[in-house]
Amino acid sequence: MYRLNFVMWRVRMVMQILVVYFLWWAIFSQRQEFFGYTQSLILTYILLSSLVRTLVLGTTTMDIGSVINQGNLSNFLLRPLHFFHYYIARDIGDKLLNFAFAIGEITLLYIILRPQIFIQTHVITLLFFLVAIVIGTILYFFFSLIFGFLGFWTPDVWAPRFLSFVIMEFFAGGLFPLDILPQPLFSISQLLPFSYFLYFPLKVYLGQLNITLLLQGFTIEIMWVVGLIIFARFLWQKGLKVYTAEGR
Amino acid sequence: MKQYLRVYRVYAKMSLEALFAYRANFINSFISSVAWGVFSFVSIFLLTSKTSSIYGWKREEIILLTCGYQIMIGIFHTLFSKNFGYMAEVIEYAQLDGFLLKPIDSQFVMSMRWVNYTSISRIFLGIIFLLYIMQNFSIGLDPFIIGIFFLLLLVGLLLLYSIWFTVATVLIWLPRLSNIIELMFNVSGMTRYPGELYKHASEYLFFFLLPITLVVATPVKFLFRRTSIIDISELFAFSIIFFLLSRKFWKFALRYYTSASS
Repeated sequence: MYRLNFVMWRVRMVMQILVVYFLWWAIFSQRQEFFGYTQSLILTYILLSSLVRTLVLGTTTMDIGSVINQGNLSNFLLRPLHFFHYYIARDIGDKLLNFAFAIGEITLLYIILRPQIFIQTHVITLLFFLVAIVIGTILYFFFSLIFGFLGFWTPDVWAPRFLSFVIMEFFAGGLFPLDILPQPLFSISQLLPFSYFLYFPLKVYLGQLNITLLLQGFTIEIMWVVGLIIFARFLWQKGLKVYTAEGR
Repeated sequence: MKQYLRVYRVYAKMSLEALFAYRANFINSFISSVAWGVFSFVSIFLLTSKTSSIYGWKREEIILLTCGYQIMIGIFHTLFSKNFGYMAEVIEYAQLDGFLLKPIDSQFVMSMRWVNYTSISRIFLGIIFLLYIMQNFSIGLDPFIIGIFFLLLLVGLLLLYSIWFTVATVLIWLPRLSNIIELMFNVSGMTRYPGELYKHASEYLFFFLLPITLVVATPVKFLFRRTSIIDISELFAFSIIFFLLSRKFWKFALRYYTSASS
């Protein structure tokens, strides 16, 4: 039963990529370039985004809210394994599993669809690409943690998290590279943390960021990471007080 | 018929009461719904900029397709989505038995028990964008045309519902296959793009998705007076056939369900 469910899940993932892929393919059927992107760059962006997505956005921290709500947090507090370390370990496992499947699926799609993808050969750029992914992953981890910690105060953790998904679908750059947005919207997107989940690492890979933009991106990204870590720790400490005060 | 309307009024009222009990949830979901609609609209506007036509669809026609999709999916989510979400549970935990004992059509209860009011925002958003686009691109705002458009949209809705329900009926044999419902959300999402997109991608895929591609595209094409009698008959035919199929299949599944000692 679970196996069929799992296959359905992978089918969904592939369908999602395919729909976006074909949409862009359709756009480029009429033209050679679109806001400075060629078909090759865009299709590379889209296919690579599904890989980056598994690494940055794959997480098991979604259940933290209900773990807290249902009082199961007490189990964690009693165990010698620290709460954070548990979820970090679980997440790494989850990400690697997702990544493995995504590699398989993307390879299959590549063989079937034969898009002209752009392979980055510049080693330093690839290094920066990996760094961007790592920082993006840490960023999303704490972002998700914060939503989970809302469980200390409210039984309804899902609704705010869902709203964040809706915003992320647009501002993370999964559907299209954010720099095709008109200037004011683009500037806003650069200040929000979402663009550092997908758009920024992908842009680094494409080698389209000069030193200034690279430094700017990393700086804002790291500021967000630090800010979110501080906020998460704050919520955790405050939340624990409320949790233990209720005698659990 | 009148009895069913009365029962539905009770369902609608209960859903409304549940809504008020979780007010913060409602406001949050409402904002999410609106945000989702706005982002969809902005995205399609952006992606079709500087493009005169894609596979025979002009820019404004593709944007209207998105608007039509918002309206359609808004109605669908309001009336049906929540119920499909619960279907796996209802079957797994044998609550279906309770429904079967009552003197009411089980397909009706399974499909329409809960109303999701937050999605009404998407219907309004879709209509507003639709009227705005039609105004902007000087497409005639003839009330008769718009009336028929909504009628065709409802026929498309029936088709979409029937496909969903037929697929969801599989849960009777495989109640843990909840991902099949999630898959249907993805498939519904495919209605927002013109069928020609899938045809160009793969003839095989297009044939498989044919009914889905008609759901929103045909009503929207009517707005542009680009539909033929064949297109419209196709939509009606598919809707009626799939609806009857969904009922037959459901009755068949129930025979299996009631015969297996649950």
